[in-house]
Amino acid sequence: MIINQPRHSHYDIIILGSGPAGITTALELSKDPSLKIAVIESGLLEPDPNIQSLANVQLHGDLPDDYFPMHTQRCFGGSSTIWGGFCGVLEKRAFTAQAWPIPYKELNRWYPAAARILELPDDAYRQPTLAIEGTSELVYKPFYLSPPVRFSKKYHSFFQHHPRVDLILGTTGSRLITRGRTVTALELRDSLAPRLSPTFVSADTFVLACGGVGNPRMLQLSDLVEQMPVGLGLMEHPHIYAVADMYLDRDRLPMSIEEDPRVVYALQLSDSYCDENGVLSFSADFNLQQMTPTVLLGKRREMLHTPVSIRAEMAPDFRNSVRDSDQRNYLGAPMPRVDFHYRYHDLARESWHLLGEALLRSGVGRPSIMQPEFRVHDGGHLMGTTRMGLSAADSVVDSNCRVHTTDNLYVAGSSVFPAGGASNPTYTIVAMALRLGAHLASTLKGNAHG
Amino acid sequence: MDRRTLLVGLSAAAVWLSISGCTRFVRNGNPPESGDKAAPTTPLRDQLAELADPLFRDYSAGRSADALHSELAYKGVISTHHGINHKKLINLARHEPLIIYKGFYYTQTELELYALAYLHAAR
Repeated sequence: MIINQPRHSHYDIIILGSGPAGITTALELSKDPSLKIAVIESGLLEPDPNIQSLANVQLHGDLPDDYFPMHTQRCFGGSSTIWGGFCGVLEKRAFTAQAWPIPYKELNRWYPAAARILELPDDAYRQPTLAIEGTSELVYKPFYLSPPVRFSKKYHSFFQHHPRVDLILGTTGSRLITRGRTVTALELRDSLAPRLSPTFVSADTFVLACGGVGNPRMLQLSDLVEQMPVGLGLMEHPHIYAVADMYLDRDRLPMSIEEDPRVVYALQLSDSYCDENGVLSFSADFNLQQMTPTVLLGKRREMLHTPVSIRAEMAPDFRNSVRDSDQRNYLGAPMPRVDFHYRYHDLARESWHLLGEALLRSGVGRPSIMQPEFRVHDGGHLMGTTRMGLSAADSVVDSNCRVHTTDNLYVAGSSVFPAGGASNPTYTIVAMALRLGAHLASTLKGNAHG
Repeated sequence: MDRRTLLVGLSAAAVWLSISGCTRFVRNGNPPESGDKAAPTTPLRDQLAELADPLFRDYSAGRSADALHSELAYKGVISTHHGINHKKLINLARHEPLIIYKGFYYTQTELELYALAYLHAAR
């Protein structure tokens, strides 16, 4: 049902946030007919400017002024209401380097189901990368475009008619109430009536699915930080548009590359090449539009001539953070302060040079130099602020996305990514949310956490 | 000199010429050629004509076609009779430092080849 206040005082599971992570977790949990689920959303069915202002932050650093609240939509569907649909599987390198404390197959097994939710072709998980003959340093990586799926449209009917899943709109979760290691209740505020007293709703299990700023903020506002790096290590995907050119030998690229409006073509540094050279994942997007005659390694031939845009990985840096500001929002809660700097220019140049060397030496193509001056843009991808890891000393959630210091509080979304790769995160967010939903369903069935 | 001595001497001379003549073949991976500094003939001439591009005029400025030809022949990248040795060029590309020319990356031997092609076309 879609309602504006809880129907019950107690649920089996409360999910805070109705973006792709929250909705996907609810979808997976709803398969268990014994569970009573609430999805609580601060916003309404459509964006409301007042509620949207709750996503404002005090911003310091490189992110543009309009970044917030644009990329933290407070309405049903969350960021899926504005996303562009880019999907790519996360690079394995993040797992082999053990930044993620789970084996890659733990994520990989959920990509097929995530592809169905995002309406991606099977190749999105069957052929996430393709080898290029004659080089082990580069791979071809297609990014597949979701239509894009607007979760608020696709799943409106699901929530409207589901007897056990309540979508509660216009209700802002303001803090979690705990007793020892157990979260017992969630304090709620009416998003549009700040004078109304808070109410409370309890649950056996809670899932935070409020995004890369909202998730750490809820932990901070609930005094659930302790020694954990809550809010630290905020990551983005640096985007640098049309920063170089390259010629590509069309005949050397995999045969399957054809004009397809639902595919964005990219070359990536292979995982092994990244490891050998100590750099992070790095994608160079290209297009198939222009063929032109040129020379390469002693032959004249028709080659693709394309501008290059870069989408890359940045390392977690604890100086990039989400924490308290000295301002309050209209509900009286402290606004978050976001400090963020890319510090990426040198790595961008080094990575491009490595890609260029690999391109030319393998005879796949010829790179131009990178423009001497360039601006790093954001991707709207907030990651890493409740990072996954093995201990509370250096992470916030465990390998099942449970907050280390609690027995029944979980986090969904890209805030758990300890490494973000160079791939747009939504596909992985959905896959991880499916995994979390399945884990919670099995855990609750076995009552492992009481 | 008796006939036997003459035959031994001729044999020795033939062996010496054979060994010394093969030196460049061993070094370059191509058979020796006389007149590598002369105007190239088919197929090299045709290949150079195909590669000729005014884009490389600046790189060829101040360079001599003969010197470039000798250098590339020495590296085993070209031979008058066998044309361009693309495998050799690719192998060299794996080890040479990259050079920036007019905003794009090249290997040095590649640029020398394109400069030679330009100079030949400009003759």
